[in-house]
Amino acid sequence: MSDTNKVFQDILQMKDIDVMFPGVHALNRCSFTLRNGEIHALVGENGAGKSTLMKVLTGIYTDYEGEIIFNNQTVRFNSVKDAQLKGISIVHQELNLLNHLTVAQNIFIGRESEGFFLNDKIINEKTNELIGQFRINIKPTDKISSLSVGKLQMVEIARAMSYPNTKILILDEPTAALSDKETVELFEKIRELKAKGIAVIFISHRMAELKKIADRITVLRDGEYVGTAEAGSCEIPNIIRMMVGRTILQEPKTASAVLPDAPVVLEARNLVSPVIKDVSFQLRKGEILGFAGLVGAGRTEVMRLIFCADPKASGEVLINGKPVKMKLPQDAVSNGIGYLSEDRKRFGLMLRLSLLDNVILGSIDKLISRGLIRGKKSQEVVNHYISELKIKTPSLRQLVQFLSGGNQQKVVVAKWLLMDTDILIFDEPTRGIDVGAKSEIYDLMNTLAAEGKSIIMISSELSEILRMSDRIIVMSEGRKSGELAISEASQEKIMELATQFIGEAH
Amino acid sequence: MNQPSTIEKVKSYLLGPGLQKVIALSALVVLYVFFGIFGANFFSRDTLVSIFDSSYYTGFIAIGLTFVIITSGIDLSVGTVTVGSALIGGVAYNIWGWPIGLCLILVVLVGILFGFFNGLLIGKLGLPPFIATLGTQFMSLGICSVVAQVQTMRYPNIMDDDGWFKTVFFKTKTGFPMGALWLTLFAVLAIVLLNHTKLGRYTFAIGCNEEAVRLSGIHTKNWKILIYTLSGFFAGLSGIIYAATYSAITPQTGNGLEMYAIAACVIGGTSLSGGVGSLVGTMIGVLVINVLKNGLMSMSLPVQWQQFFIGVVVVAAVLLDIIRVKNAGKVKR
Amino acid sequence: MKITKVLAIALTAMLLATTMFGCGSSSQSDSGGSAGATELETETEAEAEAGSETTPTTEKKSIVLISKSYQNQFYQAAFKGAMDAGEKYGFEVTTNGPDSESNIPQQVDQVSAAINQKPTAIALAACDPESLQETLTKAKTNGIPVIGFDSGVPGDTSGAVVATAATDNTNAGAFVAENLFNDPTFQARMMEGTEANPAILAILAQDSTSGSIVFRVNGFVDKMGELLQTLDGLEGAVEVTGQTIWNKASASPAKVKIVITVPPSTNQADIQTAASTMLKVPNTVALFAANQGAVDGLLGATADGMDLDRAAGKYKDLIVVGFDAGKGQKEAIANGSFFGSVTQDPYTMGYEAVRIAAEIAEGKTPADIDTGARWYNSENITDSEISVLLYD
Repeated sequence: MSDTNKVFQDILQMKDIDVMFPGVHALNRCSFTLRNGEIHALVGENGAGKSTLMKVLTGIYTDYEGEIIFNNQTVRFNSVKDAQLKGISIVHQELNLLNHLTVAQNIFIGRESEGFFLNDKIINEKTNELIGQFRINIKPTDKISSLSVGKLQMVEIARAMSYPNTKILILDEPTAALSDKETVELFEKIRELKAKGIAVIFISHRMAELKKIADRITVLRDGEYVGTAEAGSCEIPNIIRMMVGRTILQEPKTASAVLPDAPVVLEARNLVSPVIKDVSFQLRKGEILGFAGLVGAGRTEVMRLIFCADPKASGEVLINGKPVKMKLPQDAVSNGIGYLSEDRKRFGLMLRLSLLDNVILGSIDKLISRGLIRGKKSQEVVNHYISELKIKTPSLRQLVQFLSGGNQQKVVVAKWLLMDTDILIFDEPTRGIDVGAKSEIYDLMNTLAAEGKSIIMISSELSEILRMSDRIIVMSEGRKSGELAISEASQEKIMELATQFIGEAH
Repeated sequence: MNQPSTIEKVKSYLLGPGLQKVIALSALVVLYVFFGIFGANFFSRDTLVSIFDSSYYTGFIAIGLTFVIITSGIDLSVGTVTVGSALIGGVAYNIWGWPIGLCLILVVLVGILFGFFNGLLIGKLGLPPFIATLGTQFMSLGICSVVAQVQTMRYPNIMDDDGWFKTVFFKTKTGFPMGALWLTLFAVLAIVLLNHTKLGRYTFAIGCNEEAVRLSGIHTKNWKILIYTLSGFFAGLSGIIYAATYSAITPQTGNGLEMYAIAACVIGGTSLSGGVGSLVGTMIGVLVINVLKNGLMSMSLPVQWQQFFIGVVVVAAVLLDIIRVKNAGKVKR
Repeated sequence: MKITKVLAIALTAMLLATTMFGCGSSSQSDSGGSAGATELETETEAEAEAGSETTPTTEKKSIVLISKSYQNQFYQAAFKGAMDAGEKYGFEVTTNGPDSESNIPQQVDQVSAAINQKPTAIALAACDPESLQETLTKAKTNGIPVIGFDSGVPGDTSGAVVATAATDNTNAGAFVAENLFNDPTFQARMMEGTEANPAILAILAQDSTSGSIVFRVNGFVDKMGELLQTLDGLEGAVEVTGQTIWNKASASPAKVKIVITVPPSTNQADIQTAASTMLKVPNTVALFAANQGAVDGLLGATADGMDLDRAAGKYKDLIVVGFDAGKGQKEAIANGSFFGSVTQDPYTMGYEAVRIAAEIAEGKTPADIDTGARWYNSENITDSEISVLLYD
C-alpha cells in the first residue's frame, strides 16, 4: 500500500448525534469516526460532551437522534449489555469493582452460568486465559480489596476483553489515578490490544500523554464536533486552542518569585509515621512549593501529618520558627494552615449544601452574634469571594454539586481564605478540571503567593509542577528524595528523583 | 511462586476472613466457662439442652437476616413477623378450624408475604431498609393482632391429637432435639444457597457495590426483592419453630427478637457495612447469644440485666466490626 | 488483635463486676456478695452427689420465686414476704420474672433455667399455665416441687404443683361485687336502666389469660349478675359482653349491661388508652378495675384521679371500685374518689410460699393456703390491720 493510497476502514461512524437534557443541549449534531484498530483520543473541556457521546455509544443513553454505524451496520443499542455483547465495552473512570469478591468473580459477574448454581472453577479457568493473554500479574482468586489501583485497571480491561466480540474499547480517564510507571504499563497493554485489532477510544485531560499513545485526536467543544488531528503531527497548543477557543500559555517557570530574605513560615522536622520515613522540609513566605512524585510516594500522607488529620509517630512542626504542639486539625487551622484535599467532593465540600454554606463552614464562629449566624454579613463576605475568585454561579444559594469542577475548587479556596489561613496546602488542585478552569486556578495561586500567602502544591502532573513551583521537593516511597530549585528543574530530573527508591528491599 | 502449605493456608484463613469466627468461638468458650463458674449448676446436660432449645427460632431468623445484612441492608421486622405469622397460623388452627398442616403452610406464606412487601418497599421503591422494615415491624405487630382479635392463640401440646406438631418440629417424646435437626438442615441449604448460587453471589456483590452490579446488567432491584422475601420466609419458618417451642402465641409480642438475631449475625462476622458474611459464623453467634441468655438466668439476675447485656454485646460486636473494616480498608499501594 | 483483646477483657471484667453486685442484691444471705455464689456451688455439688433428689434438710435450702412480671410492686411485696420467711426458715431466696406479663416465652425460659439450678423448690405465678406444662413436667421429673402463689398455676396437669398460697380470686371477685352492690346509689342508678338506654357497669381487666384475673372477673360477674337480678325489674335483663370467655346474653332485652374491656397488652400505655375509651361510654354507672395495673391505668386516664373527685371531677358520679393497692389507689381511696377496693395479701403469699417449701423439706404434705382478701374504703383505710396489707 502506498502512502497516497491508504484506505482506512471506519469501524465506527457516529453521525449527527443529538441529545437534549432539560435546559442543556448536551450534544449538538455531533459526529465521530473511529478507524479499525486505531487508538483515538477524545478530548474536550468538562461539559464538552465526551461522556455523553460515549454513553450514547455504549447504550446507557437510548434517547438520542442521529445514526450510529458500527461494522458497516446501522445499530441502535438498547442497553449496556446489548452494546457489550455486540462488541463495544467501556472502562469507567470510577472503577466499578466489587471489593470482597475475587478477580474472576468480578469479571464474570452476571455471566456466571445458565442455571441457578455456580461453579467458580469454570470462571477461574476462563480468567486465567485472559490473564495469560494480557500478561497481567494477578491470580483469578485474588480478592479485589488486595490489589493496587493499577492492577484494578487491568482487571477492568480484562473484563471488557472477556466479551469475545469486543472490537471497540473505551477508556475514560484511565490514567487519572495511576502513577507514571503504571501509565507506561497501561499504554503497553493498549498497544497490544491495537495489535490484536481492537480499536481504543481514549478520553483524557493529560495532553502530554496523548501524543505518546494516540493515533488521532478528536476535539469536542460545547457538545459539538470541532476537529480531528493526526496525533503525530499536531501541536498541543493547537489542540488546546481547539478545546477552549483560545491559546493557553504552557511555559514552565524559569525563576523563583520568592524574595531572597523571605522568612521560613513552616518547617517540618523528621516526620515519621507508618508510611513516612523521616521527612523534613521548609516553606518560605510567598513561595509556591511543589511536591512531586509518583502516586503513592507519600505526599498526601506528609501533608495530612502536618495538618494533624493523621497522628504522627514522631517529628515536629515549626511555625514561623517556633515549635508548635498540634494534635487536631483545629490546632492546625488556628496556626494558619489550610488543607485542600485531593478528593474535594468527598473531603472538601458539602455537595448538597449551598455555595454560601460551604464557604462559611469553617468560619461560623466569626459570623455569630448572640448565638445566631448573621445572614447578611455572611452573604456580604461570600459575595466578596465570588467576585475576587471569579466563581461562576447563578447565585450564592446554588448547591455546590451543580457547579463545575473548577468552580467547586474555587469554593474550597474561598472557605480556607475566609478562615485566615496563610499557609495553604493544595493537594492535586486541578484534578478533574478542564483546561480553561485550570488556568484560572493557576492565576489564583500566583495571586495568593504574591499577596504573601505560602503555598504547598502536591501534583502528579509534571507540567503543572514545572509551571507553578518556585521550588520542587520530590518524594519517593515515603522519603524525600530530592529538592530542586525551579531554575535547575526538568522533567527528567524530577522523574529520576521520583523513582529513586523503587525496587529497594523494604 | 510456591504453593503455600496447608498449614500456611489454614493460618492465613484463621487470621484473615476466619478471624471473626475465631473470636466468636473464643467468646463462646469464655462465656460458657464464666457462667459455669459463677452460675448455678451451669455445666449440666439440662442447661445445655435449655441453651439449645431457646436457640432454634433465633437461628432461623438469623439465617435469613444474614443474607439481608450482607447486602448492607437490615430487616427489623423479623421478630414481629415471626410471632405475627405464628399468630395467624394459630388463628387458622383455633378459629377457622384448619388442619394443622395447612396452618403451618399459612405461617410460612405470611412470612413470605411480609418479606415480599419489604422487598417491594426497599428494592422497587428504594426506601432505606431501616425505615421500611421498622414500618413493617409495626404493621405486622398490629395487623396480626387484629386478625387474632388480640387473643392469645395456642398450638397443640404434646398430649393433644395434633401433638405430632410439637414432636416433629421441636423435640420428640424421648428428648431428641428435632429443632436442631431442622435448623441444621436449613442452615446447610442456606450455606449452599449463599456460596454456590447466583442468589448468594449477587447478595455479596450488591453488598459490595450495588451500583457496580447494576451497571453490569444485573437486575439488582429484583434480586433485592428476592432477598428480603427470603428473610421473610425464614421468619415464617422461625414462626413454626417458635410455636413448637412455646405453644402460646401472645399478640403484640415479638418486638425485640430481631435484636438477638442481629447480634448473632454481627458476632459471627457478618458486617453491617455489607459484602462480608458467613452462615457458620452466624450460627456460632446464635450460640453465643443463647449461652449469654441462659447464663444470666442461671446467675439469678433479674431479667432486666439480660436486656442490658444483650445491648452491651451488640455494641461490642458492632465496634469490633468497625475496627475490622477499618483495618481491612488500609490501602495497599 | 490488640484492641480485640482489650475489649474482650473489658467485657469479661464488666460481667465479673456484675456478679459481685448481682449476687448480693438478688439473693438473701447474711454474708452477701460472692459468698452467695459459693453457697450455691457447694449446694449443687452436694446435690450432684446425692443424685438430683430433694436435698436433705441439713443442706442449705433454696427456693426460686418467679412472678408474672418482675417490676410489678405487687410481686415485690410478695418477694419481701418470701425473703423474711427465708431468714426464718433458713432458705436461700432468689427471685425472677419476665419483663412483662405478656412475655410468656421468657417466663417459660426462666422456669426452665430455674429447674436447671436444682433448687429445693420453685414458687410460681404463671402467666400462662398451658405453656408451662412441659416445663413443669420437667420439674416433676427432676423432683423439684412447685408451689403456686398469687394466681398460681390453675389447671396444672403436670402434677408438679404441690400446693398454692393465693387469694381465692373467685371469692375475692364476688366480694367486690357484694360491697359495690351494698351502695344504695349504685342500686338506684342500676334500676334506672332501660332497654333503650341500658345502665352500664364497666370492668377493666388487664388480660384474659392469667388465672387470677380470669377467676376474679368470673367471681365478680357471676355474683353481680345474681345480685342485680334481685332488683326490681331487672330479672333476666342483665347481659354480659365484651370478651368471648365471659359473654352471657340476657333472657329478655337487657336493661343493664356488664361490659368487660381488655387492652391489647399489659403495658400502662395500652391500659390507659383502654380506660379513656371506657370512660367515654355514656350511662356508665360504675367501673371495676380488676387489678392494680388496671387501677393505675384508670388513674392515669383521669388526670391522676382528679377527674374522679366527688365534688368537682369530670366523672364525679362514676362509682369506682378497685383491687389490690399501690400508692395511687390508696390516695384515691383515702380521699373518697374510689368507692372502695379489695386488697390481697401479697406479703403473706410470698411468706407462705417459703413456709410451704420448708414443710415439704421436712417431709410433710403441704396444704393450700387462702391468703385472703379485705375490703377497704376511706373509713377503714387507716386501721392498722388494713394498712399493713396495703403496699405502696
